[in-house]
Amino acid sequence: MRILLAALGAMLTVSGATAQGVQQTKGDFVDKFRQLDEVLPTPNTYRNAAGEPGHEYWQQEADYSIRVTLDEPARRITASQTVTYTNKSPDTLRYLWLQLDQNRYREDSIAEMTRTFAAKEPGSLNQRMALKPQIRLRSLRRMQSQADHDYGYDITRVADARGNALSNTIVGTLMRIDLPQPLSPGATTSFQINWEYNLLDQKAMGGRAGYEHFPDDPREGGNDIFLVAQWFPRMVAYTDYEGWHNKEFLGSGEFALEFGDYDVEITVPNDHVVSSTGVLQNPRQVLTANQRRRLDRAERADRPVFVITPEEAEANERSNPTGTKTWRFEAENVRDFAWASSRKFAWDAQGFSQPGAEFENVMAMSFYPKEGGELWQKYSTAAVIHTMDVYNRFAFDYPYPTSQSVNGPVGGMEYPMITFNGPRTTLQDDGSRTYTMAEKRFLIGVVIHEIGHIYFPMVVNSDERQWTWMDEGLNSFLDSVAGYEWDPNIPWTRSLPRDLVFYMVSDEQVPIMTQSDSVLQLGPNAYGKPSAALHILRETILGREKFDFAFREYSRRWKFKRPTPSDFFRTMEEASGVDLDWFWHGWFYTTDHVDISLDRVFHMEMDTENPDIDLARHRQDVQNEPDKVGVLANEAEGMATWVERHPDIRDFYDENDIYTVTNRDRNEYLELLAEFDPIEREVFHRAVAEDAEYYALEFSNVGGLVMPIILGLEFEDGSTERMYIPAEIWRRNPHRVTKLLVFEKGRTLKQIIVDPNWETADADLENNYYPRRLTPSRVEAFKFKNPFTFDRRDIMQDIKTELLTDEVTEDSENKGAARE
Amino acid sequence: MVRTLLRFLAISAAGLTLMAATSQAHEQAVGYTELTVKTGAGASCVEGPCRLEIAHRLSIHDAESTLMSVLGARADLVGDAEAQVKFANYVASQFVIANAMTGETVPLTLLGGEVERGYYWVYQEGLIPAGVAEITIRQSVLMDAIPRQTNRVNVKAQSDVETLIFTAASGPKDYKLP
Repeated sequence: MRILLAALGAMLTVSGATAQGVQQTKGDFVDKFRQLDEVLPTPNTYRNAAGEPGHEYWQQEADYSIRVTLDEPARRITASQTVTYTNKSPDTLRYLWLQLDQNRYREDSIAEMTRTFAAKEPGSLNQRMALKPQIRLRSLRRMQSQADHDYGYDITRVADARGNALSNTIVGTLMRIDLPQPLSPGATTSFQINWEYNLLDQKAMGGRAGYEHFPDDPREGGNDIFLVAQWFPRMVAYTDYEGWHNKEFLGSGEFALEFGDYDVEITVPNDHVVSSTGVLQNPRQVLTANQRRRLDRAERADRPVFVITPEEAEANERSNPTGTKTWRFEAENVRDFAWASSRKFAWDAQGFSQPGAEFENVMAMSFYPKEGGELWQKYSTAAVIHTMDVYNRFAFDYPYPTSQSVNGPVGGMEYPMITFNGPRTTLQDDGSRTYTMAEKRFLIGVVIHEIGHIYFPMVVNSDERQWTWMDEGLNSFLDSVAGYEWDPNIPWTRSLPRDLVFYMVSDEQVPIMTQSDSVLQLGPNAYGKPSAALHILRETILGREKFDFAFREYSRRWKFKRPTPSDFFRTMEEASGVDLDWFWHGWFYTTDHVDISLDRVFHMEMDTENPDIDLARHRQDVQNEPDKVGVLANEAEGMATWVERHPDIRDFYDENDIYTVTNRDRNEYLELLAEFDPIEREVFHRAVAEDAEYYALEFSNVGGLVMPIILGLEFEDGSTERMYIPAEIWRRNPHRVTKLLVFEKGRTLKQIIVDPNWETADADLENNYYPRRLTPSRVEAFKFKNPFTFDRRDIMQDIKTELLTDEVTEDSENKGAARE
Repeated sequence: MVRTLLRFLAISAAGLTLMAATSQAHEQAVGYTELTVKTGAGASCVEGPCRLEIAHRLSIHDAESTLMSVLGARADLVGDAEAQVKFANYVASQFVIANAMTGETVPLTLLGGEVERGYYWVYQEGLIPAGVAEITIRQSVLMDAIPRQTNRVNVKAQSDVETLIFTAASGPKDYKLP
């Protein structure tokens, strides 16, 4: 295909209407770059248009003083607490709301009453598919646990500071306290609540806290690990954008909380060890001199130091309490408080130094039973320190004095200064404890993730009940950055663009911007997809320098404050200096996926208009066409043509083809040159002289999500080049675009690959190649690699095979028997 | 209802003592299956037989907890070939495709499995004879071990993707073949 330069000079006329209103009502144009003006809330004095806290930003303060006692045999805690609430809002409050999260486990809670029955639906289809309707044992265990225990709070007293009873109303997981006097702006009120409740059997009931029983421990009656969280009535958040956040706790949407100071006295059996949010205030009363010395030593150590060794912990497992001990902790400016208690804990500690920070030496600590074993000794505290090291670069210096990882029944959960992490070793028949690669990845990954949560949302206090992605997504992004910085060879899986393709092409999904309890697939929706989006933003769209500056700015602006999604979107855009409305819209407000197809490529050559050059090229083009099959067949049959049979009758046109150049052509060429004005002539001669290689690339957007087009170009001379075309190329036509590439003479393209490094979560790789490359499906590729399939193995026979060592015979027989 | 319970208890009594896998606030518990329907010479599965290609993608960590709690096997999917065989067979047993009209199960061949980063992939293939307009699919892999397990099956035919989502509470789902 040839083009004329003059034609290039004429701009394409832009047709198609640009959207004038909110709706495009003619044609199929979609304005993927429409600004988010109508979607984001109107800026105000509390949250400004730049995404920063406004000049009248405010948030409430809730301080707590709690005395709590653990009754180990009854697995029940009893407490009295005083809440001091300061109204920093401009509003007068006539009542206060508190969160009673434990009531979620009452049989009459919305969460319990709307639990869907976890059984296969009986019915003809099942029977035809030979399925038995079934109820799961887990469900039975949970129902039995609920029947055997009264879960939920017993509130025994609600009174004002003088001890006068306060009128209160319980609404599900919420309690309203009516104030005798309205609380004016700037005023403080204080009230007391006494309460008690049965701790959950976490293994039966699930959830984010509870006890785990170890019946096989040497102590009579076994031992427990107690993880205590969502344990005290907490103030409901009252904010500028939602007032009281009184959405029922349904289990998925986590917490919206206020910052405050805590003074907590925890009374437990005197052979227990307590790990808690905050700083221990009375080590002399609860720790031995030896333990205190070890803690001192740990502060400057470069490897974890045991405060309680695994051997001492195993000895403690046999102990019986002779009374109680009260551990007193204080925590400042935290949005929550959690603790753990058990006689099973080994305890290691190592100081983490951050010069110039508010807390220059942070105590990183881990608490774990023997079941944690070597896995915990090697990796828990190390992962805590690595997390702070990485997150400090991306956000701010770790703003608390302690940072802890505690093993218990909960898989992974975060609180200020303390996290609960589940991975463990497996006890083998020979008494050793081992762990798999996946368990190791899980431990390092979960510790990084949960400690990372101390930054987001424990300090950058986003509203989890409303927007899970704001903490889980940002944190999954950073935990994967930290994971790859720990060891890129560990098979991390869920956070990169390539991990999300499967989810993003599926047709059953909701936008990231969906309230937590309504999200269909919380994992990929709130963790994976936002993380993938941020990786793309950092590595591909903004680049590290701009992204890191903007992300750090967001963290700084909202440290110890409460951001909303618009604050994040606006800050990232303002601080990076790049319009990202299209990106937020596509990734966070829609369910489009990424699939850019390179449909066609045209290689073009400049017409010189000089007939002596151009006509020869035309002749060559025709000569390059394949011969006509009928003519070839005639030749093959030995058929002589008429002109061959009559060679005497020939004329001028047998000697001069239609591409023959005449002086008339040459004169026309000279006339054309004479018609050019001087600028045109200069442009023309230069282009002819350069004789560049022109390529027109036609792209279509199959997935719908507009994204930059990244091209991997491979030239015939073997050289390669990466080309980045910003997403704005799609602004006038979100469906189809053509891009012209120009290379110097002789630099011809051999191959073009869209997104060669899998940066953008492009779903269909086959249409990324030009020329097309036949990409086998996963199944085809596997069959090619593995011509033998599992079902051709004779397992019935193979299973009888004995292992080639001396002592195996007896052992393997025993194992076989035990398994049955 | 009572009969249902009893029947199930009888079936899985062996699993009872091994139910130790944790339920986690942060467990992802999502399995992915890509089921590709490839039409043959005819443009539809009614005119001619259709080939099925099935690729299951499961997190190795989730798979290992299932190995341990349901299959009673050593939980080392990366290093233990026997565990891989056991697990692949287990995955195959949990994924069922049937003719929606007759209820006849479509036989699927288990091709094998492989480790890729933190995932374990299991592959199957099958053939649907001509004339079948609709199939019924059930995917309950890992649900015995992880109560919150959700399995997403992306059924791809020509360039369309339809997603079927399976949880412990959902039954088989129908899919109209092209």
